[in-house]
Amino acid sequence: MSIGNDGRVRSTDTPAIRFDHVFKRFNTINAIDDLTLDIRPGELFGFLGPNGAGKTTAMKLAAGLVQPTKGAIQIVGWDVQEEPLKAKQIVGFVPDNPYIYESLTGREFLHYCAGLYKMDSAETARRVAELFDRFAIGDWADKRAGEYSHGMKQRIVMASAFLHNPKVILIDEPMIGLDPAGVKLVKKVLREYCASGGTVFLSTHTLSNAEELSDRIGIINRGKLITCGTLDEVRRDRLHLEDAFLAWTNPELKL
Amino acid sequence: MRLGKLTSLLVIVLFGIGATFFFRTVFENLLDLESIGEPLLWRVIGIALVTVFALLIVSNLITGIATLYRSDEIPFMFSKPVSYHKVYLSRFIDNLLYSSWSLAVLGVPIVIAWGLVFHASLWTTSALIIFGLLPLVLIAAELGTAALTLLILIARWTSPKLAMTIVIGVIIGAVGVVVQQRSHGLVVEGTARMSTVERYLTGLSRENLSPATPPYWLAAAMRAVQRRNHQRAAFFGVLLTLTSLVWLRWLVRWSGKAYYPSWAAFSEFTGLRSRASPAHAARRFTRGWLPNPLNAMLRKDILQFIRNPSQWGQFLILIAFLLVYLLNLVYVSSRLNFDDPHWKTMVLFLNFAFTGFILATLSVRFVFPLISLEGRGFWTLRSAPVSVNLLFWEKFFLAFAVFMGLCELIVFFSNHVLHVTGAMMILTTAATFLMGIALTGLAIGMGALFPDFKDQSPMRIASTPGGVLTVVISLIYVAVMVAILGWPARGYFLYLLGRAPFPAGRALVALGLVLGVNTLILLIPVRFGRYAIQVRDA
Repeated sequence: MSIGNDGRVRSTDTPAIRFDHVFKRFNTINAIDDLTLDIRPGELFGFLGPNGAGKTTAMKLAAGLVQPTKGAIQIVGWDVQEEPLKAKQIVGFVPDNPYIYESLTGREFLHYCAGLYKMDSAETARRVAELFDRFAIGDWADKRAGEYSHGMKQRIVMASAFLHNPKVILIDEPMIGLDPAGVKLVKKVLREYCASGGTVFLSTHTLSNAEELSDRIGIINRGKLITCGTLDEVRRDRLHLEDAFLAWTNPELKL
Repeated sequence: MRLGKLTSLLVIVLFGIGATFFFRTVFENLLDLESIGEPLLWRVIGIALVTVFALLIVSNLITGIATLYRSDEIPFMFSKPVSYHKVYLSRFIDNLLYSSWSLAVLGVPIVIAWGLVFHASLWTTSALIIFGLLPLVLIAAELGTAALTLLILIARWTSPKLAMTIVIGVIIGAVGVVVQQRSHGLVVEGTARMSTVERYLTGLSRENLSPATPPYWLAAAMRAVQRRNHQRAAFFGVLLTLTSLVWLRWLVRWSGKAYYPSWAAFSEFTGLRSRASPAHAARRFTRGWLPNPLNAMLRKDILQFIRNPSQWGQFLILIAFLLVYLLNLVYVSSRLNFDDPHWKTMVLFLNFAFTGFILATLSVRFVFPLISLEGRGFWTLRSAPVSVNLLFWEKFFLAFAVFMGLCELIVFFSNHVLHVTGAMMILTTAATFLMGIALTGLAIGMGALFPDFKDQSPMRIASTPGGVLTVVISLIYVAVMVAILGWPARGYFLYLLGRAPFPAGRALVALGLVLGVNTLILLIPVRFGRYAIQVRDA
């Protein structure tokens, strides 16, 4: 049990991420339609869906980049809209489009991020060196981000998400632009992170990655969570996740 | 958003109407001056045209860096089966519109006001705008972008440092030329003999522009219209129009050919950087006088500014213009008698108005885009435990510290040069301080209300409808401040001359008005701007 500054008791059963009847409307489109989902601490949750299903919107809602039209999102019990600073302090976010300020070097960007999380200089230096080593940044660390490939930007942004030892990682399409070595590295990092108690909310198109990494899978389509469970529960009697995915997202095709 | 654009358009139209009447009043007042009125008016018009022309050239050169060389569209366009000349032409037009339209808009009220004063017909005034002012703007844009392409090619053939040295040399040379010119200024001693005065008047009537320059052609066309010499006016109109079109064709042909290699060279330049040591990078963001995350945010903004040539390049050019102004002020103050309270008040408040104008220009050009420049990197701040309040105030204090330092230096130096002491020194210094706070808050608030996260060019962001609206409100605010403070200041000078009692009542009323106006200008945009960012989806 833990007691927050607001005096509320937080149970260790508190979900790492909770979507509580969340709606998000953009003009006339329901991007998220009554999403209710709990992700447990230490879990790697794979979030799948076709293009425009609402995956990125759900990710941004959890990161506090987008305000819900209705409902609440909590990160380890902290409401993202009511107590954003507390929620964001324990979250690391990797967006689908890894933009870094082009005039900063990778190292400067990480140090800047460390400053945003109020890390002290000694801890920052140690963590930056560790993450550069972990993500095999090498000589690119001191070159300006304007010269980086997409894959290198992805690595720097991922490193920035882990910098402050967050409890939750929100990661949107992490493998895009990475070479095979990079993909393998990211998978290893995510597995190790979950093994040490961290929670990962992973959004991806690549079903094989979701199959390989996820403890549980959720499939979203047109803003609605249409199924959620372990790989076996989602696949049901189908051999491959792909078949199950297509069946779930295109029921009219009777696949 | 549509409402914002309509509001901006309405404000621009109203501003245009107000500016027309303002210039008309200025022209009529100048013409009222016996003997020297008309030559003085033409001298002022000549100086204004040259200044606008020079500003347009520089503006096109600076914005060309972003529009012609850094835009994300360019690689896409080059990958398509479109000739380099066409790509260049499309980028040139884009650059022309962004960098020139505000000055062109300001030029229209000047020409209309001139037409009203000299009773030119609507057709004649319209013809002057279409065949005079617009070709002038186009020629300036052609010169600016050609100079930019040439500089980049020089950098490619030799080195970027040489190109930068040439730019700095040209700026210093231009400042030197202007300083040299002012020695032939319009000052005659009060005890001068009649022959000296006559020589001065003749000199004033003589053309101060070189006949080979487009500003001369436009001024000559305007003079010809005034003298009902429509043939001569048509000649200069045709000259301007044909020159602008011929140069455009030549520019597209030459610069279009050089565009792809210069763009490729520019892309390579961005990779040539001096490397900061890792330890230095660490210190920048994690240690400092201020706590984090404020320290980290400030350092990041400062680094981004320093490493963006279009930002500090424009800033340097602005400093150069300020230096020219201050040098002129020193010269004028050494030759004019400032014991006369009428002149003293007028020059003091003109200086104060100029400082306000500088603050307004700086705030729109550099402060308004600050929130927008977070751009695609906004997710970093919004996903971090950083409150919107902190983001707002960090931008505010960074901008305020820089511009206030600059403007208080200008005010202090110019007050010293104009021998202003005591109450007037305190008044202008305090008023400049208040203006700095208000204008910075206005620009930040409006920048948050009308952000443009897609564009990374500060000049283009400042040219959006929101930026234009901010310029107009800023200039109106400066005019209001000058008017409010001028009222008790005049009373104070009359008091010093023993012609009126101490204007305590006026001072109190003016103080109340100043505090009220500044509170409104600061708080309303800041409040709404903060709210806009808070509810904005990143």
